[in-house]
Amino acid sequence: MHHWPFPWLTTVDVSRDGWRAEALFWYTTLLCVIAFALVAFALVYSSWKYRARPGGKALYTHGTDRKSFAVTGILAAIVFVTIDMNLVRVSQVDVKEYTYNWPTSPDTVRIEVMPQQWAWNIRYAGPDGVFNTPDDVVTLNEMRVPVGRPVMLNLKAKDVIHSFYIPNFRLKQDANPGYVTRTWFQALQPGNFEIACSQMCGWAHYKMKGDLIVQSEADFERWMKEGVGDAKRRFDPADREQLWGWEWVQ
Amino acid sequence: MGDATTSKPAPIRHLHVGPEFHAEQHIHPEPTSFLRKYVFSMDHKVIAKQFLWYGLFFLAVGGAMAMMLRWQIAYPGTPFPVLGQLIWPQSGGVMPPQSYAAFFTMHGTLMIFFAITPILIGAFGNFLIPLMIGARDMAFPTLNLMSFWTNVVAGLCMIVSFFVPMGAAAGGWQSYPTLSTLVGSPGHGQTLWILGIFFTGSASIMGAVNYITTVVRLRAPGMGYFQMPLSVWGIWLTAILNALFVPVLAAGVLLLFLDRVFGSHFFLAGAAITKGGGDPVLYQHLFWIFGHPEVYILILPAWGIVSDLLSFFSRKPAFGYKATALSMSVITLLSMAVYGHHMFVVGMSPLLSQGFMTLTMLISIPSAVFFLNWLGTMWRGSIRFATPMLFSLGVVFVFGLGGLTGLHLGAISSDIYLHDSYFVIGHFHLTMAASVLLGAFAAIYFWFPKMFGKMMNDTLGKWHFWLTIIPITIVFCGMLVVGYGGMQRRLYNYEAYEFLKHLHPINVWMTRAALLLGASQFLFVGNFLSSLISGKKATENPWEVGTLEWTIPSPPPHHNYDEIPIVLHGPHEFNNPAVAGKDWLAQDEPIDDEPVALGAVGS
Repeated sequence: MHHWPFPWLTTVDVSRDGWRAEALFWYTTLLCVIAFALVAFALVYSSWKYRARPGGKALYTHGTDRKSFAVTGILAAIVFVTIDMNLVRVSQVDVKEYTYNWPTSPDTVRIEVMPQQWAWNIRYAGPDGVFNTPDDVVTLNEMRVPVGRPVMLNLKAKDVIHSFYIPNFRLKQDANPGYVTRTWFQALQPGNFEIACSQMCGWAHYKMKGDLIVQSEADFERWMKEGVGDAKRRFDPADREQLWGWEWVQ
Repeated sequence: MGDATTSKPAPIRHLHVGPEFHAEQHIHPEPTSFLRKYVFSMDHKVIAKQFLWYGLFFLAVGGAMAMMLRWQIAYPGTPFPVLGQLIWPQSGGVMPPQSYAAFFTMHGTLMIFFAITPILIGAFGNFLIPLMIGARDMAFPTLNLMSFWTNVVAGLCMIVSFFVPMGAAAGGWQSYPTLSTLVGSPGHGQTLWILGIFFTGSASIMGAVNYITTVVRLRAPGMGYFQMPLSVWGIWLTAILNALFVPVLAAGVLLLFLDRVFGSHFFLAGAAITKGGGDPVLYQHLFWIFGHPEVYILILPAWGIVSDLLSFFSRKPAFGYKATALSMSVITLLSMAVYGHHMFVVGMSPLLSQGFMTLTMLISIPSAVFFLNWLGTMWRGSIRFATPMLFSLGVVFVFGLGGLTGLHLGAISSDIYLHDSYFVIGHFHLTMAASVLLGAFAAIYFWFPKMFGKMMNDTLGKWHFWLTIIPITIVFCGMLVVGYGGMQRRLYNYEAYEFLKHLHPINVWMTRAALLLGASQFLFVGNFLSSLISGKKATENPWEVGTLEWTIPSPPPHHNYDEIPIVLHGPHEFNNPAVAGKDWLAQDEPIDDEPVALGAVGS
């Protein structure tokens, strides 16, 4: 487990890759604190040291000599290389290894998520592995995933734009009406966590909560099996609304 | 870093005066009727004051809304004192969730388009450009008049929208579809919002065309681009961005208008569509192609003004003047190519996201240059801490915080956690709200004597400064903290989520600071109004600076300059060793024995 400053301030990170956002956040923060401390020091020091005094006179310079150009240029270059290029470098590694590195292993749990005003519709493909069939397990506001397996989501909104946000996984992904977006995560420990909406989606946006239940592999499989049985019994081919799923987008 | 022996006063160039120059600058007789003089005036100074009053009015409205929003966040379910009972009598003074959504939407809209834009661009753009470049008025006075009155129509659309059934727009200041289409926002509020944005955008374009032309065509003889005060540079670059990018916003909201009123579906998709359909994310592209330049549209005038004021009150030439002007120009260019960093979680192509991230980071280079130049300006100065200087230093301080926190949001993997959180709110309030507001106050305290011929009270001004900078830093840095804590923006009651409950004490302290911030603005209102009525009479040049507007009476006559000045120096010639007896030099003031060569007319 990683340790970050001020753990009381934020939720516990239970994901395999949440440390990336945290690491980059604190790295950036450290660099910013140093840069800002220097600016603030220069500001306060100059204000005190060069305050107007009787008989005092300012230096007549336009700062256009070669030395001033060199100092300014070098400092700006240092800022760019040490701060900006470093952040881009770290972030490029993160997106390559995690964000856009969609899981392809056969044990990946695939879930379709269709948010609407103001609830989360959640769909598992069931034993046939194909979405929009009678054996799909469909829940409302409850997502169950097994610990330790990659979970990949397909998201598409029903009405307005929503954003799937799981703070304990340091993850956020918009769901748009009209086309599918993707994201993925992997839980490291079991527990009950919250799903939140982070995109303004109407007046009850603040109430658009869901539960993310991370279970052991055995508990998850047991729940899934019961769910498949229920799904088949309840399936009504005449109810078109029930078939809101779509073809999986890898 | 250079001293008096290596830096010579700027050499005098040949000053060419074109034949069209004097022809364009007639002295028009001052209008005598009340309507032509104060209401439908074409005088840039009167229009500037109209924009100032207009902007301050909406600043008060938007500020009051912010107080009510903060109240609801810290004390949900508690009636807002006094005003609450008037606005929501049916709920006993408690803000309902629908009103909360409308208020944060309109708070953002009013502050950006109807407070900051009119004050810094409308008022100070209008007031300063002709005065500082030595012109008698704007290039197109009638267009100037139309710009203000179009803005009034826009403001009326926004005000009226509060009183229509179902209330004002409530989809956030960006008004993303499909929430802002009939799918999510029935009623006329959102339609009026679109009309208001369309009108105010049209007004901005009129202003921009006017400002650009005025700077290009009406500079006094000798006033080259690099003799212009940096305030004019900032406003001019803002005008260029306005002319280029406000039309993109106008196009976006026009399509949204068609979707709402004429049943098209440019931005409609999902269950509401039976055949065809559009793409709601297209709107986000249009919005942010405009939206990212917009943040520079708002801050560039403040940067320019602060660059000038730091030099004025340090009694030193602006350090690296050309580099500052060019850095601002480079940022203006870069601002056109980074907008995608607002859309990292939209589901954009990974390649695009990574490209936008890298381009975004480039902005650090010019930003670092002018920050260093600001500090260099103070270095070995003789700093006078009048109220405008305090506010300028405040801008450097809060913009430092705001600019740096942009780095967290510019990198993809930290942005995915921070996107749509209070961290974003803290970041853009530090840059767009705190910096710009403090910059506007600096400008008002500084140019009030020139605008109204009276001095503002400096002691009250200093109290106003400290009681503003301290709470404003607490409120917006507090937002960074709760944003890192995971709190999303736009939550009516964040305590609906278990994982946010522990942030309650921080939120309460932020609200207290916000209420103090709101209360301390009465110091400004009091100072402004009492100075207007009974302030000490201002002299021609109370701050002892050399830019052209301080060479004419306070307030200036109708036609500004009896004779168009001939510019001989840069705007910041302080402590020039060739000048005896004072530490400043007016831009048109000859130094003894200085060669002045005026080029042939018609050359």
